[in-house]
Amino acid sequence: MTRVEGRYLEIDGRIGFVETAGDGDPVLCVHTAGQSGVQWRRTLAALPAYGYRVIVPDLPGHGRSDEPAGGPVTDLGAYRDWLLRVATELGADRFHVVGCSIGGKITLDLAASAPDRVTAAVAMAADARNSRWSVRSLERSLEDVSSPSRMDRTYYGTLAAVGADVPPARAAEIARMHRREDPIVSTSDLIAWTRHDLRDRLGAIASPLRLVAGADDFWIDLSGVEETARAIPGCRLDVLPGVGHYPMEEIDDFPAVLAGWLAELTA
Amino acid sequence: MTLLYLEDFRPGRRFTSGVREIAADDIAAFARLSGDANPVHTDPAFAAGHGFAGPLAHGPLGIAVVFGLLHDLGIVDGTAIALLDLSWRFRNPLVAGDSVRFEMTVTRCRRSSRGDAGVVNRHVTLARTDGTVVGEGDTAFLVSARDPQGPPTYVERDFGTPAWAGLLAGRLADNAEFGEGTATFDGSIGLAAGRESVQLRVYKGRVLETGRWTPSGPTFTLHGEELAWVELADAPRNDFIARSMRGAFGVTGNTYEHLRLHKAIVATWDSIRALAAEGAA
Repeated sequence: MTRVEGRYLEIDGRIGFVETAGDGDPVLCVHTAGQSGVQWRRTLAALPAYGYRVIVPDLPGHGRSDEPAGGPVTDLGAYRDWLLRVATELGADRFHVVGCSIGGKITLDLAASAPDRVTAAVAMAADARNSRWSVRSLERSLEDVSSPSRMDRTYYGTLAAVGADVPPARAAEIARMHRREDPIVSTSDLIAWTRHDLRDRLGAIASPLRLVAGADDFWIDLSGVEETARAIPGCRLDVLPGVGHYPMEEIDDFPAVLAGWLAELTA
Repeated sequence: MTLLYLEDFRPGRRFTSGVREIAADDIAAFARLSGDANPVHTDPAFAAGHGFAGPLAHGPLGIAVVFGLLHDLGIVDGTAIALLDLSWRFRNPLVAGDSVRFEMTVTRCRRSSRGDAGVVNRHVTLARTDGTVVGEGDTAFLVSARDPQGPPTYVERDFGTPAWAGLLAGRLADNAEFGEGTATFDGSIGLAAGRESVQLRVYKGRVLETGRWTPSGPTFTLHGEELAWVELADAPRNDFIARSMRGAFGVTGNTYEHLRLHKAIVATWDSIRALAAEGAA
């Protein structure tokens, strides 16, 4: 069994919950909208064996972290700044970062904003911009009364968002886990995701970076991901067949796959 | 290929044509034939000035080529009685030197009341050999039946019709998730496939009746092109939500009730797919 350490950090007078495991180069893992570090539980358990110190925070307002003083976050920049402080608190001056969906975009932002601290980055289900979603319609659905069957929509929406290769039982487990969300926080995250446009800042990325997209992922526009890849010098893009929006939850041996990516990026 | 009759056009069946190159001569001939001598079709320099690699093929030339390629397949010469309609969207230009082929998907097949023929709806995509779609559309034709005394064709796949809805209601009676998802619902669910639409009158978990109309009309209507229906009916899994988010299906009417019935709608598609699979043989 992997020994996992949980920490309650104090950031701006609020509890920030982080789990760490292993020794070696730090790898910061950033979860998706409305979810928590629990999405990385298999990575947390298995990646240390490849010689990494795995750091899995719950973003503010998610999992066991306090909600931020100002309420649900609608700016991914706030998560970016908070994560940099988490890394500092843990003595990880320089770190690798991997994230998915909003976490993937935060990964891009970290690589562009802190090129002196990010040593390698894997941004999954991410592009520099989201053209597919409307902030106004997301703001409407913040009013829960206008969003009946929100849990059903998360459940069936997640079933649809995982790739065709995921066995039905695993897909149903992922969908049930995602139903633990607070819909106000999830929707705020999506507003933050939709608003955040990194296109002008990709040139600042200095670390090796890999973009990963699931071929079955309808949440992202593959042409946007390709455009993002072209704008980052030396960026490699992997489109994974049979995979949807949540590679770390869908792929059975994801920790080994991630270890391979990180080894390639830092070779 | 062998000659095909009405009974052979099961909705969902696909045909791929051979490849045809569009020659400069073809475009010149089409300009003479149609009288459309717009310089974009006849003058290479003019076409180049508008950013095209050569004289642009007339849009209807591409459509004409579809029917030529269909003739080449040798499947309907003698059984096709009449072309009934055509609606077409032009997606990308076609210029001399391009090679094209079509993919044709049968979207509906219905025997006429006399029984000796029937209407077959088809979705056609014309694409260059590099995959770029030149145009796509829907077109129906009248086809001879092999057996004039034969039964109705593929009712399990005649989406959006009263006969089909009657079969679907039978399936929904045994669909526990549909029952749970509509346990607090009193209204009608409209299902529209292309121009066909039908309603399921639902009360507290049960379908009371099906038909073209209900006294209060549909609470909401789920609609999609015929192609979207056959594609989801035959898809390896029920990914209705992913297809809806990509725009293949839409909803009109009471969106609040539609959102509330999310589970029931996914469950309805499970039954639609199981019913369609029955008609797959």
